[in-house]
Amino acid sequence: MNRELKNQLLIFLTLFIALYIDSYLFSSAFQMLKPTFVLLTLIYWNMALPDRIGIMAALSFGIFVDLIEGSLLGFHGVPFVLITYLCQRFFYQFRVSPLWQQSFIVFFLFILYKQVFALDLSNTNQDITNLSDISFLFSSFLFALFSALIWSPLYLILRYYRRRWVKS
Amino acid sequence: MMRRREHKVSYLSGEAIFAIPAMKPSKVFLSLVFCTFLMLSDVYYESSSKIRGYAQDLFMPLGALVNVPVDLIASVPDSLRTRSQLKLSLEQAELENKKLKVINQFLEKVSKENEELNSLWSSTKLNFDNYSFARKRSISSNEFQPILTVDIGRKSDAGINDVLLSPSGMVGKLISLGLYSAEIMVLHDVRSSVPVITEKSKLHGNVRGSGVGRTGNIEYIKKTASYELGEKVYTSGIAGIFPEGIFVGEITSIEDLADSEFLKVEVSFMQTPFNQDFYLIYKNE
Repeated sequence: MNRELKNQLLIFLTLFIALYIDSYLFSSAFQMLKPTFVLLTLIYWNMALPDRIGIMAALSFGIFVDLIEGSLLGFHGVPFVLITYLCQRFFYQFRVSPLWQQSFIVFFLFILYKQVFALDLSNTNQDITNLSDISFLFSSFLFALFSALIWSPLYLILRYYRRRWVKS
Repeated sequence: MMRRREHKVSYLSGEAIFAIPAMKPSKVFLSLVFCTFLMLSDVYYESSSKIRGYAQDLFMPLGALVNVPVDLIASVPDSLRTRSQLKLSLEQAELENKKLKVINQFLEKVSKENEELNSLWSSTKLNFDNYSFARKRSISSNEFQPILTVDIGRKSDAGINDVLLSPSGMVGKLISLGLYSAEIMVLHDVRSSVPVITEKSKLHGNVRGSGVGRTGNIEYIKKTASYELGEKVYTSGIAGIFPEGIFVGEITSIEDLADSEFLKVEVSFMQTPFNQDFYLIYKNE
């Protein structure tokens, strides 16, 4: 098989595994706080091999997540594309940072990502939430914290996988 | 073999600079426009509701795969057990069997009572053909718009807007349908609005969800309305989407806010989609 194609398939395999983990049903408390593994994996590949993954992958997996989560079609596509762009734009700075700094960046990215869910795109309820909603802020904080904590092990696993399987 | 886009040439030395070109902002812009177009078509024409159910059918093997690690972990202790341990567990199972036989004798009495109840049940106007079983598959992690996905039988005649019920009342309504799957908008969803009537004061209103772990609100209630705390709330059947008399929740708070022209009436939903595995789909006539 062509090496380029094989690499692409191996990258997409990790994204599909992340999608599988995302569709796993956890207990009620953790279900709303679990990290979005697809996005974390997408961030990793954008940082590690930015020329192997592009905007189409971000868009496609955003739509897959929309279909699994039952949200508006294109809803996850927007943050996925924006985060992909940011990662590709600053990947030189991002990938040389130590892991704790990367986790810190992931924390802030995921806090912002969580705020997208509070947007009332269907104009159903005038006051879904706002920044004074303590419970939403707290759940956003925990969500970002879990994502930041999971970043380091995920990074190490994916790096091992890349070095072992994805040949440049 | 070097690809054309993998390097630039230095103006000073004329040597190749190996840099990966950044993603073009125009591509990002086009993608965002495409996403916005998808969202707008979904908001105004519900364009995705027809394909969602079938997409869930496609993701069904993913749902089956989810159980693989759990089954594997469960099977590990069995494979590590010795012959004597297995013999012991067999003896325990035999003892359990004897207990069950005794319990069965009592059950015969219970089943007679059950028959009586069944005859009472059948004397009502409920049509059993309108019910079908559904099994929970997954719940989305969006706390404001949680979508419950359930497995339905291939021969199920469930349709859009059918009601999903649990033993503790209404769970939500069916919004998208596939061959084997259905998506449910639960009561907690901010898009959900259910016409209700209260048990004692017999006042009508619409209950709107506010997200998982939050109470719902009865909307646009005049300040002169006399609701009672703890009052039970049932579907009123108005608008014909939900059948009449299904339990929705209980009033937990009534506030008369000075800066609002309406009363703030909060309804606590007794049922949550998380702690239930099986549901009934009620086909509303």
